Amino acid sequence: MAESFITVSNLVKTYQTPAGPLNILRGINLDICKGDFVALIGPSGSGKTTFLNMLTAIDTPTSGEITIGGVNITQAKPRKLTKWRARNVGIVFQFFQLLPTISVADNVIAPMDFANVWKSGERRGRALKLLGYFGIQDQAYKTPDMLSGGQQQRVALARALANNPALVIGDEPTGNLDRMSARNVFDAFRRLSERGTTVIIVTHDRELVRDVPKVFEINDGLIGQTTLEAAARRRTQELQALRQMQVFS
Amino acid sequence: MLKTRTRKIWGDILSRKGRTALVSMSIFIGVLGVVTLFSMGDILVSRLEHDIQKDKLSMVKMGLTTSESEVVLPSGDEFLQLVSAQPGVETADGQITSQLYFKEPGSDDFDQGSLIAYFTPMNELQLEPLQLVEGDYPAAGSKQLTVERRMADTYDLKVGDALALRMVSQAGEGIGIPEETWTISGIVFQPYTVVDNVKMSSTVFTTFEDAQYISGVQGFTNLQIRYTDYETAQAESSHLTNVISTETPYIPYISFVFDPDENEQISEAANISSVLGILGIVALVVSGFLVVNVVNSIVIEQKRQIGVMKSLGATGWDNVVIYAGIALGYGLLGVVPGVLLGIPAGYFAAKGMAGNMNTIVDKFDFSATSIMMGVVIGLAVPVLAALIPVFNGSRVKILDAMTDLGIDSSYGKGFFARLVGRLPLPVTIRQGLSNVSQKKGRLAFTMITLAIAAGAFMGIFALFSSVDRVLDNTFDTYNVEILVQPDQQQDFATVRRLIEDHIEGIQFVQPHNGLQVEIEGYESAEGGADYGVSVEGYDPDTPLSPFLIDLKDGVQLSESSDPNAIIITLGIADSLGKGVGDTMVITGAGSKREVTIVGVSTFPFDGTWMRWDTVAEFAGYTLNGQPAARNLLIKLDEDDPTAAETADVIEDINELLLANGITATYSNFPEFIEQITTLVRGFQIIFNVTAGLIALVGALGLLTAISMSVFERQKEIGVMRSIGAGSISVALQFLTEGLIVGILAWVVGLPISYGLSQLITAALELGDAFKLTYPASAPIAGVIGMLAITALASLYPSISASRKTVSDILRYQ
Ligand SMILES: Nc1ncnc2c1ncn2[C@@H]1O[C@H](COP(=O)(O)OP(=O)(O)OP(=O)(O)O)[C@@H](O)[C@H]1O
Ligand SMILES: [Mg+2]
Repeated sequence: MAESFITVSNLVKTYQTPAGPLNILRGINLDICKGDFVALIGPSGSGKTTFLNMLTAIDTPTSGEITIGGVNITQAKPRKLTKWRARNVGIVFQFFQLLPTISVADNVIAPMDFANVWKSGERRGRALKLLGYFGIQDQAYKTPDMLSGGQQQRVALARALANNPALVIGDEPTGNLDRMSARNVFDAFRRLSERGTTVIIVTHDRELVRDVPKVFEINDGLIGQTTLEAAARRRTQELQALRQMQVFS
Repeated sequence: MLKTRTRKIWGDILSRKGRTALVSMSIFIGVLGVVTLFSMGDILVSRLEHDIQKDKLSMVKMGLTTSESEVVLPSGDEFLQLVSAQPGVETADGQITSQLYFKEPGSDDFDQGSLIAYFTPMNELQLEPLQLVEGDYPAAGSKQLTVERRMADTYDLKVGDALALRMVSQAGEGIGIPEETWTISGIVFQPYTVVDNVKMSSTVFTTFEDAQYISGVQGFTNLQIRYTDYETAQAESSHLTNVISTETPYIPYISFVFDPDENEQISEAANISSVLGILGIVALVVSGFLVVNVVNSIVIEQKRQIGVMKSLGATGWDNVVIYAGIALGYGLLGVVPGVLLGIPAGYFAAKGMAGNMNTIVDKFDFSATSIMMGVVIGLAVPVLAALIPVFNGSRVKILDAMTDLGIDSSYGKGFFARLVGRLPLPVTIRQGLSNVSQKKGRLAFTMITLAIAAGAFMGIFALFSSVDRVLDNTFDTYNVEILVQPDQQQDFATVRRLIEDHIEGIQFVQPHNGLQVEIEGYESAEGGADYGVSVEGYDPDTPLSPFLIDLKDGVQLSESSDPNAIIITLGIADSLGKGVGDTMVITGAGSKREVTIVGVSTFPFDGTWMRWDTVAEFAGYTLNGQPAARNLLIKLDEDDPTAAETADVIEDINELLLANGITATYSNFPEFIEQITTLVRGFQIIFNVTAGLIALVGALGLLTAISMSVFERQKEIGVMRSIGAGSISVALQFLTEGLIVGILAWVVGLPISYGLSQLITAALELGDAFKLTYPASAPIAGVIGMLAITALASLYPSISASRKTVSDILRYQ
């Protein structure tokens, strides 16, 4: 087995609510290797987004540690984390989150500018190349609102890859896309992982998950690698429960 | 890094063009105001400072007259030697200032102007010298004169042109008034204020001998003196009047002391422009509130974008730069046209005001400091205003931004919301009210904006109605239209008969004697006793009085009054701590006398009234050894005659008296009133335009705030419409919001307006006479204006809100 790229140990996240402490993550331990393509599944409210936010250092755990590429991100200072995130992590959001008032190309240039990587003269060329890679170079000088949802998500992917990050994270990146576009996005993720980028995505789409090599499921605040059969069984149970509710109501 | 920020800044500025236009326009107005008004003042002041040499200014200016019919005056040299020999006197020069009748050869009517001549040759003037613009100074005895450049401009006169003059000195019964043709040898510029009410647009300078020849005036009518320093001038000027009165036949009937370091022309120009400029800055600051609101709403609107940018690696500082940059962008869009337009506007404003300031702005000029000020303040105000919302925005955490649901958790809580909830009001009004309470911060800024605007407007309104009241009070006191001051002492009864027999429409001709005196123990409220006070001597024995004096205490002068009875103004009474029945000592024209106060008047400018014959005795106005009236006061039959009607009568009287060999100076009171009123109206317009600009900025602020409200509440409007709300009730909701803000602003504006009017009164150094009275009409005008402005400013966004259809709104989701 390859050397671990991401190490999560005893990760706990507890929210204090008026109704008492809410234990969302209750001691997660996980190793992910370089170039892994990982899908994260679990019921709604199980803590998937919470977990991803810890991996990107957007949120801080109650206890436990996360080390990514040798950097202990649970102990670093916010300013350092911003820099680290800019160079090492690419994030793809469910609602694309492109900056609406600047062009598509400029959206892709933005992370390069912020992180100040690549020579400033090279940034535009690189952005166009990335857009070309996703087949939307011809859209480069439009503003995001002129693009379809699928096109926008491809821009978001290009933007996430702008600084050649070692880790790409997506929280339901295909949640707003039709099947065709969703499949394209997943193909792109796969190609990335084949070239050595670690990809972690949260998804509800069982069909797409079928082709993902590693699937983890969060349940009751704990995480475990799951087989597709197990996942399928769960899904059948859920459907049955739903059907019963409809029958009795 | 820099590029993405710049792109984001301009992208945001350009993507909401309407909002950008509003904010930039309000900054533009402020910058335009600041640059224009300060430039105007700067150009005028630098013009005046360039032309007025402090070390050539006289410190004492005196009006001289003589009495008796035949007086033997000392020669000019002798007299000036006497004056120069007095303690502290450095330089002295005498003048003749007389009326001049001129026309271009061939034209029908003579125009009236002023003839001024200095005893010192024109090219050697030590005090307030002329500048030769073109040609040469006139040679004596060769029928040459020079015209002031403003007269040359007015009448289109050139060197070598001829003017026909009336030789009033040679007028007499049977001869008529001979004419002579004189040649313009040169054009001069007199930047100093020579004598009040001499208009440079009709002033001619000749040699002293030639002025004597034209006017028939032999001695000096004016004297100007420079002392070693101002303090000496203050201390010694009454000694000088005393010496002149006792040792020469001259009667120094009026005397002013001037501080050369505080030239009135310069300080007036500086005062007015700084007061107006500060109003310009207020307009800019007001636009700053608008920037706070807009940037704040941008930051709230873009909370998620801020989070995204941070997740892409943007630091808090990047976000500060982006959102402060947006504010700076608004600033630039306002500053560039504001400065570009302000430069010519300042020049033209200075050109327009130059006449009022007795100077000329004849070539293009600009004020670098004013431009700098406009640029710096115009950029600093929006950036500073944006700092707090920007700082708040930069602290947005990615997590907060991404999970923000946009629902204010305090919704529906709080005292005000609960109160509104209970009130029996229509839903739309209630919603308007709760909008106000929810967006307290933003609307508070808008409210402050409007309050400042309302304060400025009402304050200026109050100020000018005070000024109007004072002027009305002043003008009402004069129950006459014409003052005739013969150059030589005349027999009053003879002249009166002459006028009454020959001129139609005269109600009365009465004797008048004027003199400036000092009152022991009196200090003018303006500080110092530099100006003395005037004594108006009139005839109280007739039923028709030329002065309608409003009394606070005591009685009017009458036939039975003691010869030493005096009416004084309240200001004098207060300064002396005296009242009716008390005595006080007056000195002037070499005399000293104890007088008894019989009445105290509310007249706004400090002065006194006595019997004309007492003044004659006191000042030395005599004819054949008997007290005589030096001047005549004339009232016309017609009620409130115009300046022009009065001028016609003056012309008739002048012709009549000239034909009888009497030369005189005439004062046209209605004209004087018209001039003052025009001047005041001019300032009123400038002030009101400035207040209007502030109000406009305030209205733009409200327009923006309500538009933002509409924008943010699109979803809510959609919901309301989908459950059946009509367009009127949607519009009403936002209109209510606007009107509530407007009314609150008006209330807050009231004390602001009072303070502001006090401040302006003080800053303009209007003096004690213009004590501010705050009229009820000011707040009434304010509330009407405010309702109009708020209704107008809320109307557009309200209507646009009511036009939104459900599908319009869903498109944004
Ligand atoms: N700030 C918070 N305070 C209290 N509880 C929170 C907070 N944020 C999240 N939660 C709770 O934590 C739980 C996990 O939330 P999370 O968003 O991670 O779920 P998820 O697995 O991403 O669900 P979904 O599939 O619906 O997106 C939820 O029950 C949620 O209510
Ligand atoms: Mg989630």
